[in-house]
Amino acid sequence: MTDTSAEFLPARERRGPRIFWLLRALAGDPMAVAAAIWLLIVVLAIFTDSLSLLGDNRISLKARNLPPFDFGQSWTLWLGADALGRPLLVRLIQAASTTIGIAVVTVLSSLIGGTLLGVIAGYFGGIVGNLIMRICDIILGFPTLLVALFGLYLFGPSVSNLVIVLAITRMPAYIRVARAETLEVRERLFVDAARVFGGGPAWILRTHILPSVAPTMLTLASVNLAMVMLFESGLSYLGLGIQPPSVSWGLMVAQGQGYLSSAWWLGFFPGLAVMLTTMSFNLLANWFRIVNDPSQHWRLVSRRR
Amino acid sequence: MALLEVEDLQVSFDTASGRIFALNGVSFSLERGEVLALLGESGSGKSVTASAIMDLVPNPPGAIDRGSIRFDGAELLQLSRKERRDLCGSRIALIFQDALAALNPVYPVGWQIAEMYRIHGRNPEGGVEKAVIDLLTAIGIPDPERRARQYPHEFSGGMRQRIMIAMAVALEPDVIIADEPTTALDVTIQAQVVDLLATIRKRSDAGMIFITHDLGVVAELADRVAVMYAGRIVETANVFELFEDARHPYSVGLLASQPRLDTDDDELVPIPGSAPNPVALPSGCAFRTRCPRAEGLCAEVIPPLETVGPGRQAACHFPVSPA
Amino acid sequence: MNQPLLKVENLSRHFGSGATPVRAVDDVSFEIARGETLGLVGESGCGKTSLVRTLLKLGPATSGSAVLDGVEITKASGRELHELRRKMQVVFQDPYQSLNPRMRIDRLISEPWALHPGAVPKARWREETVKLLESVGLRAEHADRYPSEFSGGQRQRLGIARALTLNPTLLVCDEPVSALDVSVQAQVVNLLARLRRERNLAMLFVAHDLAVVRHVSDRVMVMYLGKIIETGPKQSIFSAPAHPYTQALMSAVPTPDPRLRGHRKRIVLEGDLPSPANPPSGCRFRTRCWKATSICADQEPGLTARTTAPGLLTACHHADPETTR
Ligand SMILES: Nc1ncnc2c1ncn2[C@@H]1O[C@H](COP(=O)(O)OP(=O)(O)OP(=O)(O)O)[C@@H](O)[C@H]1O
Ligand SMILES: Nc1ncnc2c1ncn2[C@@H]1O[C@H](COP(=O)(O)OP(=O)(O)O)[C@@H](O)[C@H]1O
Ligand code: SF4
Ligand code: SF4
Ligand SMILES: [Mg+2]
Ligand SMILES: [Mg+2]
Repeated sequence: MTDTSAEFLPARERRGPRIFWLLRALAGDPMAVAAAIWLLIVVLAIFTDSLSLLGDNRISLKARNLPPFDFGQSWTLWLGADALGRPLLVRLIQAASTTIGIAVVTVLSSLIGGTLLGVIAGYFGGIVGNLIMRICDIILGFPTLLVALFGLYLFGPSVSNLVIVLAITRMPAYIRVARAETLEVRERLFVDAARVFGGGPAWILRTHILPSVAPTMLTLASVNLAMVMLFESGLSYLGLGIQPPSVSWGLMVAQGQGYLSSAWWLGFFPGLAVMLTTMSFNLLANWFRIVNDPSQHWRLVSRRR
Repeated sequence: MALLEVEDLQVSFDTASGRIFALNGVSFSLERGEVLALLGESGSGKSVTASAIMDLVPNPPGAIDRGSIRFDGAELLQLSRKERRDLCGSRIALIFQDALAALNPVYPVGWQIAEMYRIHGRNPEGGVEKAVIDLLTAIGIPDPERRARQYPHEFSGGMRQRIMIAMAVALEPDVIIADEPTTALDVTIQAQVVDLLATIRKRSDAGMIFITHDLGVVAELADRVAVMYAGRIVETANVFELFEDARHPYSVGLLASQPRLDTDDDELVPIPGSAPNPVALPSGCAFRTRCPRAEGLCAEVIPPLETVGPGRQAACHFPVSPA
Repeated sequence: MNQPLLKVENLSRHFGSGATPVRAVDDVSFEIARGETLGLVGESGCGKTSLVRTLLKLGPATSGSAVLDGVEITKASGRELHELRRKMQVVFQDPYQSLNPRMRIDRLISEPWALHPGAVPKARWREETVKLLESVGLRAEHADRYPSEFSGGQRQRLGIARALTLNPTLLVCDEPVSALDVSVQAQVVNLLARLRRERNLAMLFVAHDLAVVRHVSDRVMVMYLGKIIETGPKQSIFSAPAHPYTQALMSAVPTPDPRLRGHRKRIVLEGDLPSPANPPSGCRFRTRCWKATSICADQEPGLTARTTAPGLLTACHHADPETTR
C-alpha cells in the first residue's frame, strides 16, 4: 500500500514549444549551464578554425617555448608557444576539431550500433541474440589497445581507420549494457500492456524500450567520450593515430609530456581542454537523464520557486 | 497511570519536495492487557508512530520535533541512547510489517531468536536452546528442533511472520507493537497469525498496539481503536462503539467504503478524492477536502481531539451525532 | 443462452520443462457470457495471474483451448491476433508498474489508437481522450501530466480508461484494487460496476479479496493450486459453499463487526500452499483438508454438480454444503 497522492502537484507549464521547457530546465541546473557554455566555446572554436579565420600558425623562432600569460604579446600567444614557436592557443583550436570530431563520431557510431544490437539481443534473444553476445565476448576477450593496435597496423593509420577501429572495440560495452537494460525493461508491466493493445516488436522497441534505455546509454557514452580521447592520444603517441602535421589534444598532451619540467604548459592546456570537455559531456548527460525522467523534473524546476 | 502515554507527538522529515510533517500532534494511551488498534490508510503515519516509540526514526532526514512518550512513568525522549536500546526489545517489542526484510537471511532462525536473549543478557530457565524450541512450538511450527536450524528463506511467509512474533514475545515485553503483521499474507494464513496474536494476548498482560488498515482484523482483535488521518488521531473509541456509531466523518466514510462478505448491497460508498499530499496539507482540518460535512470553520481552525462521550474522543468541529 | 463470449476448455499453463514443471494452471475450463462478470478468487501463487496472462496471450498455453467470440486465442497470430486484441483488454494489478513513466497521459491513452489505425481518426484523439478521462472521474487537464503525478487510485482509473479505448467486449481485471486503500478501492469498484452497466462489458475479475469479488461478480470460481475447485452463481457459492477449501477461505475472512467475535464458526487451516511443481496426488487440497480420507489421495475429484445449491459445481469427494455462517 503506497498510495501517496500527488494530485496537488501543479501541472507545470509544459505546454508551448519544447525548446522553452528545455531552456527552463537547463536554467535550473547551474552545472549544466557551465557545461553548455564550455561546449559552446569549443564549437565556436571549431567553427572559426574551419573558416580559417586564424592564419597565424607560422613557425616563429622568436617565440620558441614562450611561457603563457605574457599579455604583452599578440593574443594568440597568451597561452604560450611550443618548441617551434607555434602559438599554443591556435594549435589548441586547430586540435579541437580533430579531437572532438574523432571522439564524437566514434562514440556516436558505437552508441548507435551498440544500442541497436544490444536492444535486439535483449528483446529477441534466441540465435541472433546469442550470436551478437558471442561476438562481443570475443572482442572483449582481447585487450582493447591490442585490438586497436593490430587493426591500425593492419589497415594503416588514418583518421577513418582510427574511428572505425575505436568504434568497434568500444561497441561491446554498449551492447552489454543495452542488453541488460532491455532484459529488465522487457519484463515491466507496461510493456505487457502495450502488447495487449496489439503492439508488435517494432512498436514496443521504439516507443517503450528505446526511450527507457536511452538515458543510461547516453551516460555511458559521455563517460566513453573521455576514454576515446585518451585512447586516441595513446595511439597517436605510438604513431598509429593522428599523423603530424595534423594535431589533436591527445597528441599535444603526448608530445608535451617530454617537456613537463621545462615547458609545463605544452601538456597542461590540452590536458585541461580534454578534462573540461569530458566533464561537460558528463554533466550534460546527467542533466539529460533528469529531463527525460518525469518523476525527476522537480529537481530542475522547483529549485527556482 | 497508563502503561504507555504518547502526547502531542510531532515528527517531520526533510524530503526533496519539502518538509513533511508525518505526525502532527499524536496523542493516545495504552493500558496493560489492552489491544489498541491504530487504524489508518497508507501514509497516515502509523509506522512513523511505531518508529518514534522504538527510537527508529531515521535522523536525518527525520526528527521528533516535540511531544512526549511516557512508558511506565519514564519519559522515553529524555533517556540516553543506551537506555532506550535496552528498553527496546526487552520491554517494548516491535513486529515488523515485512518479516522477510526484518530477518537476517544468513543466520538460522533459531540463532536469531536466541540472539534476543543474548543481546539483553537474559538466561532463561532451562537454557536458551530450550527456550527457543519452546517458543517455536508455541507458535505452531512443527518439528521445531530441525526448523530452528533452517534459514528464513526456507520458511513460508506466514511462518516467517510467526517467527517474528516469537522474537518479539521472547523476553515477555510489556508493550508489543505489531506493524501490519498480516497485510502481506493470504486470508487463510492471516487467520493463523491473528489467532496466534489472540492467544498471546490472552496469556500475557502486555499491552498491544496493533497497526492495520483492515477493519476486519480490527473487529477481530482490538479492544480500542485510534483512527489516524494525515498524521493525526482523528477518533478514539471502544471497538464496539466505533463500528456502531462512529463520530468522525472519516471513520464513518471508512466503514461505509468497506465491502463485506456477509452482504452484497450493490453500492459501496467511497470517500471522494484521495489522501492529501503531505507536503501541502489543507489548512484547518486535513480531511476537509473530502469531507461531506465540511463548513467554513473547518478551513480555518484545526479541530482538537475532544471528548465526545465516555472514554471516546474525536477531532471534528461537526461530529456525526450519535445514532 | 446462445454462444458464450469466452469458452475455455482444459487450458493448462506449465512453466519449465523436464520431470517436474510448475503447473501454474492445470486443466481449467469455464465460460463467460456476454455482459457477465466472473469472479476468480484464490490465494497468491495459485495461478490466477498465469491464467490471465495465458488468456491475454502474453504467454503460450501448454495445452487446451480458449475461444473468444469464435476465435481460438491459443492459436491466433498475425492479423487475427491483432483484431482479437481489440475485443479483450486488461487492467493490471499494479497501477505503478503498468503505465510507462516516461509517457504523458495523452500519449498513453491514445497508444491503442495508434496501434489500431481506423479505430479512431487522429483528429479526434484529444476529444476522445478527454471523454474517457471524464468517464473514469478524471479531468481534461490530467491529459498533460505524467503518471508519477497521480496517486494509486488515480493511476488505476487511468489504467481502466486505457483498457476502454478500443471498446472491448471482455475486460480482464487482475486484482485491480489490491494495491489500493479501502476508501479508494471502493471508488474503483464502483467505477467498474458503472462502466460494466453502461457498456455491457463482460468481465473476468480476479481478486484475493472475497468481499470485493462478492460485490462485483455474477458468478464465482475458486482456484487452488492451478485447479478450479468450485464454481457457481454468486448466491450459491457464498451462501452454501460445499468445498472444504471454499468454506475455510470464507470463514478466514475477518468480518468487520466486533459483535461477531468468538461467535462465528472459524476454520483455521493448517500449513501452507504446497509447491505447484510437486502437487499432492489425488485431491490437491488434501494436505490441508480436515475431511481427507484415503480416496482423496488416490483419486482426483472432478467438478460435479451439487443438488444443494443451484448451479454449484464442486470438486470434492466429501463435499457437504454445510453453511459456514
Ligand atoms: N524516512 C522517511 N523519509 C521521508 N518521509 C517519510 C519517511 N518515513 C515516512 N515518511 C512519510 O511519513 C508519512 C507517514 O508514513 P508511514 O510510513 O507512517 O505511513 P503508514 O501509515 O505506516 O502507511 P502504510 O500503511 O503504507 O504502512 C508519509 O507521508 C511518508 O511518506
Ligand atoms: N514466469 C514464471 N516462471 C516460473 N514460474 C512461474 C512464472 N510465473 C508464475 N510462476 C509460478 O506459477 C504459480 C502461479 O503464479 P501466479 O499465476 O502468478 O499466481 P497468482 O496470480 O494466483 O498469485 C506460482 O507458483 C508461481 O511461482
Ligand atoms: S472538522 Fe470539518 S472537515 Fe474536518 S472532519 Fe469535521 S466536519 Fe469534516
Ligand atoms: S476431495 Fe478429499 S481432500 Fe479434497 S477437498 Fe474433498 S475431502 Fe478434502
Ligand atoms: Mg506502514
Ligand atoms: Mg497475481
